[in-house]
Amino acid sequence: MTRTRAGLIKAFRNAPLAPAAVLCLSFVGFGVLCRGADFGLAHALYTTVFVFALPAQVILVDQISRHAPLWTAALAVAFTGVRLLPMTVSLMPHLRAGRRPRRLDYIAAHFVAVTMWIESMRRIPFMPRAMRMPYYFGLAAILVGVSSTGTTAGYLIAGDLPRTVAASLIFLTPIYFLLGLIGAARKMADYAPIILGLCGAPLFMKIAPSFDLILTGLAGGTASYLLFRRRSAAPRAIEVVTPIAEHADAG
Amino acid sequence: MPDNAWIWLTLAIAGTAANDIWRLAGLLLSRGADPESPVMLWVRDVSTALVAGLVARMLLVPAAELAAIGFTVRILAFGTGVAAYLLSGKRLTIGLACAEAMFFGAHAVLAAGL
Repeated sequence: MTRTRAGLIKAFRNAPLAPAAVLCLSFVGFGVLCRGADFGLAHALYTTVFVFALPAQVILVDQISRHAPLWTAALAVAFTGVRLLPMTVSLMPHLRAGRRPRRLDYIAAHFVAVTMWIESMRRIPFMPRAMRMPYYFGLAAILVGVSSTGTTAGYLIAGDLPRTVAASLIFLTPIYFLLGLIGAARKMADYAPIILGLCGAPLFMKIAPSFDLILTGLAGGTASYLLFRRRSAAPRAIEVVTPIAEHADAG
Repeated sequence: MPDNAWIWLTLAIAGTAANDIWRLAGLLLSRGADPESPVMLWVRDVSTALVAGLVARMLLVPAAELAAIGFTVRILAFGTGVAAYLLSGKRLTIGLACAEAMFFGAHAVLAAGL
């Protein structure tokens, strides 16, 4: 019990202020966006707490306000959610720290998101085992709290803000997303899907306006995978082919 | 806006379920799967391109108040943010601050010029 309290206290004492501030402002922008799209405050807050992944939330607002069919919304969200899988896979072993799986793990997994993941991976692997879960939930409470406050504030002040300020808050979301994507990129193979996605979107917006997001993702992602990853993902296939080709030449 | 019940259904299925399915899968897979397998790499590329596509659409067909800001301002501010982020060694606060500074600066200059 003392360890539990110590972990929680540690999370609040060492709260990651700068990432929390950026997250909060982005959710203020999301609140402004929701108000502009005639979304309800309850809807907006529901997505912040029970979806807790800004790209998915923006897609939901976009798809719902465009009367898109349920399946395109679900498919687009499911594809953006994929990035949560590798994060969860790498974080959970540190949280579990060798003990048996518990029901609490499922609740913990729900809060995996970009900022959560970065801040957890920075500290949790170096903590005593019993402090890890409490620390993680303390961090989740801070970040979800800050995001909900931002969403509500943005929603409520949207009408009173000078129009340029409201616009600048909405603008924060796309630039925050793109910098996040670039931040995770290391090699050309990581930058390629970003560039192809940016360039593909205007094209698919013209060709198939209702399915543009999914088509941009599928076409851009597949092209980038085939061009840059297939070679590095299957180096053995090339090694096997080359000697055979040489033999054929020799023969 | 579509009716309320439909919105809640969409939020629950396309929002919570479509997202948490990956967190759940990640939890189950964390007992030994390869996140670097070809299928996983492809899936990650598709999701990256999809979010980048979303970014492009938010800039080209802006929502709500952002629509009142000129295209030149949006692109200038966006480019400035990306450049500042890369030049500062990927520091998020610097990238965002420069993007916002250019946003207000360019808007003021262009609005005064017109």
